[in-house]
Amino acid sequence: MTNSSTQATPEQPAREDHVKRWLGILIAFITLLVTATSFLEDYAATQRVTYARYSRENSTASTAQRVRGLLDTTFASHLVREYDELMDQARSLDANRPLEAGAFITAARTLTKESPLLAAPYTTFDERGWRTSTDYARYEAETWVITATLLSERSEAAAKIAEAWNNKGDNYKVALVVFAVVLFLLALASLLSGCVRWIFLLVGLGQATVVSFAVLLNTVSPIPNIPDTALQHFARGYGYAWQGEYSEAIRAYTRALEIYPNYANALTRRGKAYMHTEPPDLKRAIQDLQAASRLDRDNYSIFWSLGWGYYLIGDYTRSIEASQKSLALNSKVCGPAFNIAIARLAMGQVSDAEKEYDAAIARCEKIAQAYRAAGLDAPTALWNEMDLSAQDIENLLCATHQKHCYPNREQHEISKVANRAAILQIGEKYLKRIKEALTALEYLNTTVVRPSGAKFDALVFANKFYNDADEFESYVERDRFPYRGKKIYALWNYSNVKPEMKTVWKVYRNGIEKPDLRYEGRWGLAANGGAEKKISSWFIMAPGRYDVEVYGDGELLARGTFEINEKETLAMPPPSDLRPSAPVTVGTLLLYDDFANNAHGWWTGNASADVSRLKEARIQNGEYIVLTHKKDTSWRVTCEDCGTFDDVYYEANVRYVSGPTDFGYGLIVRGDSGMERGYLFSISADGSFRIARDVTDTVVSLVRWTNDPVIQVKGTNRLGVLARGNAFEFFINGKSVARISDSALTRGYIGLYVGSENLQIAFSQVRVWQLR
Amino acid sequence: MSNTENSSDLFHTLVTILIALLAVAGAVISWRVAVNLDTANRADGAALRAVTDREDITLRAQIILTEHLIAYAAYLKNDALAEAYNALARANPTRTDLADYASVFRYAANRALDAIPQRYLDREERLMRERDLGAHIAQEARDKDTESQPHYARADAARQKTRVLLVTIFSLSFAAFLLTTADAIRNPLRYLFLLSGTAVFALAVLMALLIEILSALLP
Repeated sequence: MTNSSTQATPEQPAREDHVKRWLGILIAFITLLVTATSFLEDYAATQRVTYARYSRENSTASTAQRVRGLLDTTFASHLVREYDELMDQARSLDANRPLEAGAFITAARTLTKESPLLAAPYTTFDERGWRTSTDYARYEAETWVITATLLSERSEAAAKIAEAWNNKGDNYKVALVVFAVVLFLLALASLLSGCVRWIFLLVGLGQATVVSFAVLLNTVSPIPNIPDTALQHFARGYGYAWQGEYSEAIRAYTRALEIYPNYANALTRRGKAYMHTEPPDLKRAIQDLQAASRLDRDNYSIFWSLGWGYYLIGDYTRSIEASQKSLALNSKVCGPAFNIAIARLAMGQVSDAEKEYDAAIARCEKIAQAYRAAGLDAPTALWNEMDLSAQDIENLLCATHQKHCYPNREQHEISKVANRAAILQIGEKYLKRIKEALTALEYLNTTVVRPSGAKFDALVFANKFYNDADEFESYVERDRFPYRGKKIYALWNYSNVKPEMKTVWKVYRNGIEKPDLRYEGRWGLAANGGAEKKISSWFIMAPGRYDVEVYGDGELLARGTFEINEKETLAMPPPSDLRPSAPVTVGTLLLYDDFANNAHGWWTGNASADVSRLKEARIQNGEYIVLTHKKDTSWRVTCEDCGTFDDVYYEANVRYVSGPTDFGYGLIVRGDSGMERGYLFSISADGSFRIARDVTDTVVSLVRWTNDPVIQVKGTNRLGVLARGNAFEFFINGKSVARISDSALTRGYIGLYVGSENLQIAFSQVRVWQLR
Repeated sequence: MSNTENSSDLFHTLVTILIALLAVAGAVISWRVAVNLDTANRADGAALRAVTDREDITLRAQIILTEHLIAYAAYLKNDALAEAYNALARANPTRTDLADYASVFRYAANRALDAIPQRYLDREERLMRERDLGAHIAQEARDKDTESQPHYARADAARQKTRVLLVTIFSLSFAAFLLTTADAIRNPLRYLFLLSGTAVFALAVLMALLIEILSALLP
């Protein structure tokens, strides 16, 4: 017996057939959607290929433009150097061979036709034809930088569009996969029955609906496309920034952003440009960089600049956060690590600051060592980062303690700094540490610096005085030099130096290192002694403040500072009402020296043959103190500005300090540049005077030693010499003590002298008048 | 079996055959799409190689030009000095040494000029930079394919053809939809769906054939 309730009704096959037919229609419709999606995916792929091609073409063109531009600039710069060389040669010939000098000038002028860089508006010349300035940045900007930047931006914009189309295409591919699953579910639904069929059908329909909407959304979603006009404004802005014209750059970037507000590169560049305006607009800089960081989240440079911007406005916490993000995005930079350290220092977190500085230095070491292990050298940027971090400490110490101040440096906001005493202590400590680590890392591939035991005195600086026969006579020590182009030497004593020690010399002008003046090499001198080092190489050093540092195996052994004045002479204009102490009629005051400094370039020491320094003359408290240790000899000195005079009245104070009282000291007139010849007017500390002449290396007395009560014994006396033609008159403390007539010497240098070893005399208030 | 049932079976069979033919046509056209895409990708690859080769050649030509420019700068300087000294010698006939100096600089100028092939110097011995660069590029490009545009054009044509073929596939799937609907419904509208489905199918196949014939005949 069968169960009649389970038998199929006549309507069921008809309903089943109906369902299957409609499922068939549905499957066909989904297939239609699949082909439509395939078409869209192919279109997206074509667009991706097209924009990728456009990007490549522009990238290639940008590179080509850059290479051509660099080659052109190289050739043009070479011509500029040739021009300078010819003019330098003309200058050196001008005195003795003016005709030939003219030929060199003519040749130099011919060169100006060969490159636009050697003409207006890029180069300016003075009335003599000397090149005064060349605007390389403007030339580069106008010939290739702007064009190359535009091509590069087009390439980057096209690459972003290609990437966006690629993403669209990927989305379509995902949709196709989902549609395949839908078809599978619908096919199964057509085979199954009961509520399982309806479940498959509903799930399939649900998925189909969702993915159809997704395809629709993907199709209509816009592709960001930066208009070419915005790119052109950006390129112009970049060109202005290349020339340091940040205000103009900001204007150009702003125009680009008005056209396309989400232009990440323009926001970044404008933000950085705001940090370079005078004064920096840090608020706007931070706004722009924040906006840029939202658009370009993987750009370490944006976070780095943002971190520094926050530091400069005193928001140290945000500075640290942004700097940490920068470090996380790029393992090849260490600059942001120093930003974190200085932020901690400014916050007064002393031990954290020390840890961060140590970590930053270690990071730099790791980066440099990794490059070297790969057969490359560390990038220049790494050294710049360390150098700039040292400058940042200097700037902080300048703001908080007025130390290490240099012109044109960044101003640090210090209203929120804490623990200023610690800033000074830790700042000085790490300023030295970073400088040593940088030097050691560059030359010894390690930041570990161990004291070598070597001792260097503080550096002093001097020119060298050569006589008319081009023989070295004496150093002229100074801390301020006139702008005369003379070579400058560092002088110092040293001890306990190992011969294999690697020395590095660094010279900074106004706080920025002059790489052309850097010197490095093995110590080639003895373990103990004195030495000189030419600082200026063959350059004419420009006016400014110079700091010189010398390192031994990375250890900072000594430093010193000097200035080069803007003028060729340091002497102050003399007072107009000065009169001689003696009753003489005089004209113009020709030379006036109160020894506030070594403005006139007096000799300060004639080193012995092995260049070990014996300090023999110094300027101190308005006096020029002269002393010689060389046995059995007198020492005659003069100065760079002391010649040559003929008919003059010359007077100076002479003060006995110490030493033998029966040897002479005093004034020299009509001397030669080496002080081998001249008329000597001397007194002795025990109250006598003498007048002598030295013409043939023999001192001949013209007036023998004569006692005169006008002389202050062991005291200060004012000596004066009137030289008119072959007539001479000599004065002591305003009294005429002798007159002679002699025609052996008619003109020459004025000078001073001490007549014996260990005789120490202080000279002051030197005056030279022209005679009426 | 009734006549109505017979005609339904016939209709169903016809639709089934049409859908089967449609599937075959779709498969063939899909194959052609794949072939064209492959052609487009190869052409893109060739274009990229051409671009790379062109830039390699250009860079090398620019390096040679740089060498010539360095020599030319030395020539300019010495030539200018030679001319200036010649002028001085003429103005100062008693100074016989000036002519000697002029000779010295002239020798130096000539020596510098020796480094530059004569064909790149014009009558006034000025370096023709564009000719120098162009000649070296042309020389190197003789044995290499450096023109990317023909390849890009070929790639674009292949992609354009692909797009049109995809349109035909879309048309085929639309025809399949119409035919399936024709098979599914039971009212007289089925004949309209059958006719329109068949028409779309035929048009799609014709379009595909036309594209293939045209692309074979036209360059």
